[in-house]
Amino acid sequence: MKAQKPSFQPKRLPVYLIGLILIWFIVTFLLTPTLSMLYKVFFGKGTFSLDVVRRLFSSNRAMRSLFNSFTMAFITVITVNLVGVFQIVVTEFFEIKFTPALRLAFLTPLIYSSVSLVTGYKFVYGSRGTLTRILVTLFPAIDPYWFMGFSAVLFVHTFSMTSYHIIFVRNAMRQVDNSTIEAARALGANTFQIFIKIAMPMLKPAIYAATLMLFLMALSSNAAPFILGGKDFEMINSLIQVLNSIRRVDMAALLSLILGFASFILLLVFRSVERKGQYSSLSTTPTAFKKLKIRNKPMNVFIHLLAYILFFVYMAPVLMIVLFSFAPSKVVLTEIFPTQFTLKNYIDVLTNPVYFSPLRNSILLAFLSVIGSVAVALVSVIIISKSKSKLGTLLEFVLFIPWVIPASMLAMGLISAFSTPTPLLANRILLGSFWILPIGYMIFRLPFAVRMLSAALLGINENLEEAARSMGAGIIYTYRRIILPMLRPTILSISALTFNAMLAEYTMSALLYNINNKPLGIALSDGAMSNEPEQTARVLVYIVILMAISLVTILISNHLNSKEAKSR
Amino acid sequence: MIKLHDLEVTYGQFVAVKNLNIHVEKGEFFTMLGPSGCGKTTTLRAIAGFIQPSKGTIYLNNRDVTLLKPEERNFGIVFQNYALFPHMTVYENIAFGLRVRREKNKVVQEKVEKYAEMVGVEAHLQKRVTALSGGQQQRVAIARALILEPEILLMDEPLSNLDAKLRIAMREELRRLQHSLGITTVYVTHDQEEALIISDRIAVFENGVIEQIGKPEEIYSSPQTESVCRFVGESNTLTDEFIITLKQAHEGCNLELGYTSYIRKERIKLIKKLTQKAPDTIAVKGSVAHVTYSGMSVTYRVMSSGSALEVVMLDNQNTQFTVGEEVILELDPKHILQFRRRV
Repeated sequence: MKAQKPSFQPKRLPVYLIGLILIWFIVTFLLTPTLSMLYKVFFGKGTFSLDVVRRLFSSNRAMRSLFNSFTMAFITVITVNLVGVFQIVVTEFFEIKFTPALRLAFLTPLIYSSVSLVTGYKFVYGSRGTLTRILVTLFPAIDPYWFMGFSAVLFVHTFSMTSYHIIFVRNAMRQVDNSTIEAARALGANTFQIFIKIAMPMLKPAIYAATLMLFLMALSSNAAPFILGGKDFEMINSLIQVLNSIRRVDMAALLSLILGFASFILLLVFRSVERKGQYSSLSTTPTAFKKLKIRNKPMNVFIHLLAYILFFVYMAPVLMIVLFSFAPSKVVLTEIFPTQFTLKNYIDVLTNPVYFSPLRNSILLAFLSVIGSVAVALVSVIIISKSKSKLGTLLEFVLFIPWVIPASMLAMGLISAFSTPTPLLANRILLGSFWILPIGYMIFRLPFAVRMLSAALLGINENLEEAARSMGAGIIYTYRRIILPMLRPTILSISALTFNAMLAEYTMSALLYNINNKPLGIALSDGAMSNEPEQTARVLVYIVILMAISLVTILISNHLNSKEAKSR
Repeated sequence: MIKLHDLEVTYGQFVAVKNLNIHVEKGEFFTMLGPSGCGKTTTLRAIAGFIQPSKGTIYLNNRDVTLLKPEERNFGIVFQNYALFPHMTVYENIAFGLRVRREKNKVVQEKVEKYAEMVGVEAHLQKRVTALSGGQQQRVAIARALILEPEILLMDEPLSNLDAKLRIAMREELRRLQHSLGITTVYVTHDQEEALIISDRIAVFENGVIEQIGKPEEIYSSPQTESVCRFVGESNTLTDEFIITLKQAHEGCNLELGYTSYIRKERIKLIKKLTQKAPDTIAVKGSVAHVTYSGMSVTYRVMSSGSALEVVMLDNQNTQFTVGEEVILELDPKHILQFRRRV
């Protein structure tokens, strides 16, 4: 009566099918582009050659862009840490008046970033921008063209790249156990000693993590140097874009490879820092952190003042953009402050198909990238968690390729792999079609989805699955009824973050877009380069709509998740 | 009912259990007892089908199920952490197995109500499981495991997350429920007292092998190996010097030297005068070194012939001993457990 293990079970047909699709996806969109790019760089002429490398390293322009990128990344790390830690200190550590308003201002980079932020900053700080004109009136020594080149890029980086601080460091701050603060105070420490000796060491791992992510982000910054850099300041990604547009795909690919290599090294460092872990509270009954008063009067006034100046720096561009988006286009580039208001700009964007199409395209592209990356990640994560063989580890490794490869390198890979027909895609040419962009976005966001989902899956006790199976539920039923509902909050968060990030994606779009899918990021950068008032007005409308969509997305996902948390 | 034949489970190089042979009778409450890492949970999970044995066969009801998937084996399981589905109500949790079987709503409702009442959670059916206390969650988990009327109930340390009082109440209730349903139960615990009270038979595990299988009283009073003796109940270790003293005090005493010898703490009695001694017992002198009072009982540490012995006696207002007092230890040589020393 020995039971036989059947070799093929028709009931499991869907499982096999999903597996096959996944393998095709990975081979086509993860392995082929990477290998094809390497081939183009080193075997461009049929045999192995370092010719491209030699040419790149003898190009002054390329060397300068590398130098610029690393310098910019190092300086950005310093300035952003100053601003970012200050933000956390005034919103989470000290008692500062009007904290909710400050918090709101410091959160704006989450709904408004990359190309839309650069465009917006250029609008208010550029030579004809409101704020520059106010500044010039107040301080005539200021050059009206100050917002250009290195300083402009650094300025944008400093105030827009604080999002990692807002996410990582703030969480760490909130987890500081209040009893440790009270203990320090009982031992005679004053407020600043408490901050330096108790709070800072607990924030350190989060600050390191934020710093490394920040360095990567600054190194591969693209929209800022492309729009604001001018002739004299080029960074790696903006040069890649130029090289690609003049059909020097091999050199563009090599540059992206160098960027990828640098990022890879940094990620290794990041992982080792991450593994050192965070300080976990020793307390079994942690008490919520209570903010401290600054006892020193002049110091208190000074910190308040600094916080409000920062509030202004963050809010002024947002307010100006919103105000001017309602101004008649003819005054957009001439008035310091609009006096008349109209809905014409919005009506233009929403009713004229030509102006509406970037918006429609971007919403569609962001939506497709959410569906694609979540679906692939979900299937993969389940397979990884189920398979105890080396195959699971291999799958995990392959899925992280886009994590160590910067967006520009991914795009260069897609360009070199899909500019000719390939049997993997039934002999179609992907480059130039609509689908190249959603596929690019999707693989770019894949590692993020895999990481978040696998962490969430690890958090689900395996007894739950076993309990379901003991009651007769098969594997698909178990995932559908038990595991998926439990992953829903994570899926919602991933979707919201991916949707927002892809809505105004710039780096990939600039390399891959075509007439069929021109996204918002490109429309914005075109507008930023233009001096035509109507186009500028439309750009402002795009940015406002973008901020609104991002805000609504975040609010909806937070609302759904907190509703779910409450009902548990 | 359940038969494990030469079962072996390995994790890579590590052998978790080996040469396991167990036969659980129909309707029996069978407990696998042992310290953590001894292989008891591994064995339970192999019975359930959550892990594949590397060797051996598992029979449930004379059917070889070794290669069957968990969902094909017809058992109910209660986990240490209950594994209730947090996104479902109490009702939906209990109903889950019936829903898998696509039972009609009416049948589902009747059965859920019946089993909820059986475990006493009928008032909470519409609540989220996370709104329940630990004890109530435990009851829901049991109802959920029983509703499919499985032939076998598996329980993995189901009481270890409850506080002491509730644990005692629940273990009585589990026993009562198991008796009334007559369901064959395999129970895993590291709590020897729990195992002794609740089980029909116990298998004591150590390092992946079974040291002894037997009724609770057999396990307690005649442990077959030293590790069973040490793990179940509390014992004093007796030195050779002490054994010699005993042999001198009692001519016909057949205790051996060169063995490791133990005696349970409650098998020694302290008396004040030799005249109080019962026949067939041995009496030796000692002095009280320490007294620990714990309500119902008192533990005395008594020095005698170079051994420090702990003696547990019910608290009796009439006979109390104080530190420094000379006493007589009375014990029956039958109660001394001797094991060959391990080389």
